[in-house]
Amino acid sequence: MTKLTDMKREKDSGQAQWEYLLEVEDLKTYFITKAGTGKAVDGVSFRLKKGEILGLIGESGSGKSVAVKSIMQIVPKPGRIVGGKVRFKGEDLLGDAKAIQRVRGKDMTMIFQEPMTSLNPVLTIGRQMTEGIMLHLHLKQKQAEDVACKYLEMVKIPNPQEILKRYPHHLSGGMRQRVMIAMALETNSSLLIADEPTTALDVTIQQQILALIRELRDRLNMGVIFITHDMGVINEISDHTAVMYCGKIQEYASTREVMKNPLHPYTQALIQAIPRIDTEQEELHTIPGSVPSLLNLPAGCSFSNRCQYACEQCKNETPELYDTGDGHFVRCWRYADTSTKEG
Amino acid sequence: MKYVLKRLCSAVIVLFVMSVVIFLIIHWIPGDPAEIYAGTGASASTVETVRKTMGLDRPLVVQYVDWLKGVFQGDFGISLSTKEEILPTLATKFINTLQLSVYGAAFAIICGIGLGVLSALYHNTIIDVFSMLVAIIGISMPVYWVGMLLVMVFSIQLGIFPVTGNETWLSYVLPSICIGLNSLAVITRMTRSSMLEVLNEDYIVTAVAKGLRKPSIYFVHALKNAMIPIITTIGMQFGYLMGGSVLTETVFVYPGLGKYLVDSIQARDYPAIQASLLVLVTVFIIVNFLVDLAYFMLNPRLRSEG
Repeated sequence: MTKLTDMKREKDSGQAQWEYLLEVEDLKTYFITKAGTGKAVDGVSFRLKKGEILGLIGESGSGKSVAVKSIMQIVPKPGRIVGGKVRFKGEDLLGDAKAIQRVRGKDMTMIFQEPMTSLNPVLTIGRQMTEGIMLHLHLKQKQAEDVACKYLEMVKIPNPQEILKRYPHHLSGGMRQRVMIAMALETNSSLLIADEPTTALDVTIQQQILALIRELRDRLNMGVIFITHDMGVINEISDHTAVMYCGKIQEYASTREVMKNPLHPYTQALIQAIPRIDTEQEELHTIPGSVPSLLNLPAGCSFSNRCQYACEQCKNETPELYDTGDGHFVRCWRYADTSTKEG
Repeated sequence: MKYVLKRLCSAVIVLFVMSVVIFLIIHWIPGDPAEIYAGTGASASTVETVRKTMGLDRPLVVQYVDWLKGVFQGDFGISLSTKEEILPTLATKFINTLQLSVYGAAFAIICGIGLGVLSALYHNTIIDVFSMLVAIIGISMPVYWVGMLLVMVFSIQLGIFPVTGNETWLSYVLPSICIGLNSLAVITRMTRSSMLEVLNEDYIVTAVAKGLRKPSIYFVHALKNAMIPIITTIGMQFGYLMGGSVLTETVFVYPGLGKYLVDSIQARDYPAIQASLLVLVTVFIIVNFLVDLAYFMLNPRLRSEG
């Protein structure tokens, strides 16, 4: 069994004729309601290489979760993808209605924020794990169970045989998230989308899950998009970081660069807001105000109403994503002059 | 296992209490059984003799125990109107009603769940509006009215189905629809709301993200969860169905337990009333117990507690 799956993996990588595992270009997902159009994702572009972990960070309502759901095409109603391109292994997923069915749940898999509610309560873990394997890898029940066990072992669940017979309510939150991860890996997925997978877990379990995802990335060489609202988590896990605010990427660079040299006032504020143990601190830094409603965004830069550097231009004109060199992009007027425009 | 035992115990207790209630009600309603048995115009001394032979002069408790003893031995007493043993008549009538109820229930369950699922999947479309219309008609139309309409349209005008009786399978069609329509409406609405709720759950998103095909998402992942409240509804409906047999059987002159009960009440035939009520109640309780069992089978959270 092991041989077969490994062979498949090799075959996949041998066929690589694409440079980027995932290319998202000017993706737009709007929520069209009677009250108005909420531009939850408004022109998001990024690229992801094989084996790379991209961290997507932003406050609640910044559109990070809708962005990845758009990639999977599981946007909840009334949300609709209204424009842009999503290319996965060179194949356009939005152009052809059948394209997503070929990769969703097989080559491109997802784990969610709430491990407590993301598993079906009336089906056994075994049933839930094997159905994907049987469907996508065309295996029989018995073989599918062997594969499921192999991946449960990989996510460090003891007694996988026993776990397969259990129902979700028998397991703890951390265990369920491990099952979800195993379920996302079992079809030899090459892209794992993790939508705040550690937010609902306590800190120790969070660390274990982060370590596990890093380890699995190294071992299986898959691409990972990791969503979180926690700068600390980003720092620990991701190679590149995209900071999202009001449906747009505000800053994109390698994680080290973002941490060391944040350019966007919003990113700077986020990093300042990380509580520190090593310095005496009277009060936590916070960003004044809150995320504006998507139906009522400020004109110009969407951060202008909370930004300490905001000037007249910021309040009237929307900045673009400027390249400041070394793959560091930032959407802020302050860097417009010093940089070449993104080509 | 503890859960099952607990349910079984409560079923037995409810059955016992109901037998007492039935017995008392019959004995407290007006009308002297001895007088009826003796026939109109019988002399006072004849009535007194009849009362003695029937044991009606003894204390209620003794009569109750006596009756219960008989019931356990399959002896429901002698009918006052036909002067025959009740059990054989009761058995045939019961089987007829059970047959009708099962057909009615099958109709209600299959069409109800079907319509409800369609309604939820095509939420706010013409399909949804149509099945909700069916449900509202089913809930608001009284059983006897539905029955008469069905007979008028399909039997008298179109001549497709016989008006009364239970001779051919065709004669079961209209009574089954009539008896099941109300339950169909309730089940449709329950299925719809339960499915709509379940379809919003996180695990459905997981199922979609796993790339599963629609039938598997809807019928395995969603419906199995949605069935838990639906099963409860179905069980309760089956009880009402047996009760609804009284009206349906009267309209269709169908030789079942409901018709027998009505006839017995009109004849003030108290042993027959007692017997048919007891049978109806027993069926209701057994069905409820079975529903609890089904609930237990469907819900793994309940299973691991027991």
